[in-house]
Amino acid sequence: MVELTKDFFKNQVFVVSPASGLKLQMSIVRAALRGLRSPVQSKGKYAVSFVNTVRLNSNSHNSNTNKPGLFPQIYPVNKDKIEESDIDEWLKAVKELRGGKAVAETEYEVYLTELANPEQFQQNEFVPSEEQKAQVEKYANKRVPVQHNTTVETVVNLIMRDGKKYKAQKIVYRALYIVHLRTRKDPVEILEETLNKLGPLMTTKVEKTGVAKNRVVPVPLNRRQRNRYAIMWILDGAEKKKSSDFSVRLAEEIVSAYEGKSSGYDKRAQMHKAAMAQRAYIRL
Amino acid sequence: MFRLGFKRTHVGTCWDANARQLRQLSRSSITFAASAPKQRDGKKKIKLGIKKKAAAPSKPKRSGMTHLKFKDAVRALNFEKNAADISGSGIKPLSFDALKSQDSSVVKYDQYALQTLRALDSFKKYQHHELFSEPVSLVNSNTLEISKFLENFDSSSKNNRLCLIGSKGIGKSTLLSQAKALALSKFQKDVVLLHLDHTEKIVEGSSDYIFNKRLGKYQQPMFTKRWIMKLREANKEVFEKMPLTRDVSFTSKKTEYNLKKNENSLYDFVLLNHDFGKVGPSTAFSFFIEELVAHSKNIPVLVTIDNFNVITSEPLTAYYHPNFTPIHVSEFEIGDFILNLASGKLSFSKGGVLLSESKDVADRHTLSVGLGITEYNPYWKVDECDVSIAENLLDNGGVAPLKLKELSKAQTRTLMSFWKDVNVLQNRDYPLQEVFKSFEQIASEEVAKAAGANVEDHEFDPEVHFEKIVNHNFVRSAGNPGHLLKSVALSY
Repeated sequence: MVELTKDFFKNQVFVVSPASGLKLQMSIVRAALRGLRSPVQSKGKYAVSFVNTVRLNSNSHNSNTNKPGLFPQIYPVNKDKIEESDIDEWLKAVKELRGGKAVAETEYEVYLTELANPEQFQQNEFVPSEEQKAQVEKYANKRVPVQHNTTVETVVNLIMRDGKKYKAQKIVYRALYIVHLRTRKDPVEILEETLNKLGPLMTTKVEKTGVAKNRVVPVPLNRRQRNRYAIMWILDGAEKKKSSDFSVRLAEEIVSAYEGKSSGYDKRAQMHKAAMAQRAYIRL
Repeated sequence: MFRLGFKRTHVGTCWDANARQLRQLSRSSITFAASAPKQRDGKKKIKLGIKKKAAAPSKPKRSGMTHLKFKDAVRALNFEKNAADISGSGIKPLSFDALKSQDSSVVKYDQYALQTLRALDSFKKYQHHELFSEPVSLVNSNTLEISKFLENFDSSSKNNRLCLIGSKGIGKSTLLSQAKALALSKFQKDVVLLHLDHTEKIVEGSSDYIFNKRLGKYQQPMFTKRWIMKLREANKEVFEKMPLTRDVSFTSKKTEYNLKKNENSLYDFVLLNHDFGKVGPSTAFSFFIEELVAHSKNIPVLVTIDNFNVITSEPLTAYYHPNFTPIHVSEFEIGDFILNLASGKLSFSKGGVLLSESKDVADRHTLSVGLGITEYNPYWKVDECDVSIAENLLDNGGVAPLKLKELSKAQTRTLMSFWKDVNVLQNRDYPLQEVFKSFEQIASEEVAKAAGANVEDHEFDPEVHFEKIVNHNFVRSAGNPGHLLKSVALSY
């Protein structure tokens, strides 16, 4: 519980986001009034629970100590204590304004109508500390690392069915474990190298000409597209291996593709052949 | 109504039959009937021989190195042959005398210990031994605790009983292997190792079983024979040093053997006697144990039972009495032998009993009550706690529990450094989000670089990065060596 005195209001700074406007202002006022309507007598002063009503700006408590807070601005500053009559006056003003009164007359009405212009209460400044600035400089021009290797992640995602990612991950990790045991090299490097070797460089696309004959145009593939082709061919090849365990089959196919024995190489050659045949339509 | 002389089983069928019969009686049916096909002159050719079936669609030939599943495949394919040789890396064999100096260091097993442990199937599936050219382990505080256990081997085994407990992957089975290697080192091979690697074999119903009226117990010939063969191979040298304490005669493969006291050794007995696997009542196993007990004054016996909590969790086995009630594990000769050892009822003059729990077995309260960790709750159901087994374990001073400790950060660093040296741990840079750029983007970036634009300043420092990996994996595994190895070798 907080004792609601003039000094208390002076030291508080209430932050209102610029987008919220009058609606939020009114909600703050209502919240404050709710507290005032249920007073608890404590040493002759009103006490009000203030914890849930407003959010305090944590980075502005040092610099803004001299600035008047929101409450001193919206509530008459020439009062030392809030009396019951003040609250009645306030409520009366609220009632009047709600009723459609256009011109503010009393002191309370003036304050309330000013709340319709929230700009004066808005605080939209962020002043970074020196430490924060140094940290930003330290990590500037650096990419944020990801949890898993992206190539491995692509294989996992292509194997995944029905959103069962852990199951797919287990298959791929076990396969890479066997690849490591077979080759005694970094399996991720081997996978990347294999995909680079196996991935096709060109594909062909059918282009509508608007006349009788369509045109088949060779198109270069980017790395992501090349990887996808290579992974799908590896998965096709893995299906033909004899182990009943997918991870073992996949490992065998990755190793054979790394050694240049996969059936994917024929498919790659076929794609290149088709692209070469249509080289007349290539666009540079 | 015609009586057609067949059973009127189905109304519809009966009326259909009547109609057919009537048609046959009518003249027109004969007149309009199609004539039978003319037979050709001469005899009809009869095809002789077996009728050829249409060829079944051939199964596509499937290539690949194995038909096995992952866990079996990595073990069966001898991948350890491809591993980096650790002989030149200064890894020393585990030694009882030099144990304190070997604390927090990676050790291997000496040749004799390795051979013995392999014979006993101490290196289990999925312990990732295929990563290294030979099995290795780390000496830590748990190993030092086991050395204290081995120091008490001058007293009888009933006073020296220990049960290893701890989370999955903490190194219970590895510690059993270390205990056996240390025992061989301490007693200079003069120690009998009775190791049971897979206690499930007693209760799961994979063996045949017969009732021995003389012993009043069931025997499992197939299981006993296989276990004895393992023990014979592992303890060959020590069994040869153990002369028989009494005469024994038996027939094996139609040959009668009369082994003489003090002339023949226990090794001769286990080599020549085939009664362990005889489908019929036999006293061979009890004779073998009696001989071990008699020699235990001079030669200590280390009994190590892995997955001991299989017995305590599932005391009612998959085997059945003739009246179709399940047989309790204590009614088996081997089950009774293990429980007697654990309770101290059967004791070797010198030696110890080392039990180890498995975390792959459903958790019941029997073991924790038997070890004095939990108090018995009378409201538990019968299958939740076997009181007779728990009381057995508490007999003769009880079995002492040993909760295994996790690795410290320094030990984790030592272990990971070793893995890095033998190329198991890949000290690669953190993966970054790959940016797939168009040709235009790449070209414009290169132009910008040439003009002196900001280039990402990142240098890969292997040592700094290794420390990061250590920190990451230590936190991730919480010092559990099994989890640590998985997070290093089975996560990319």
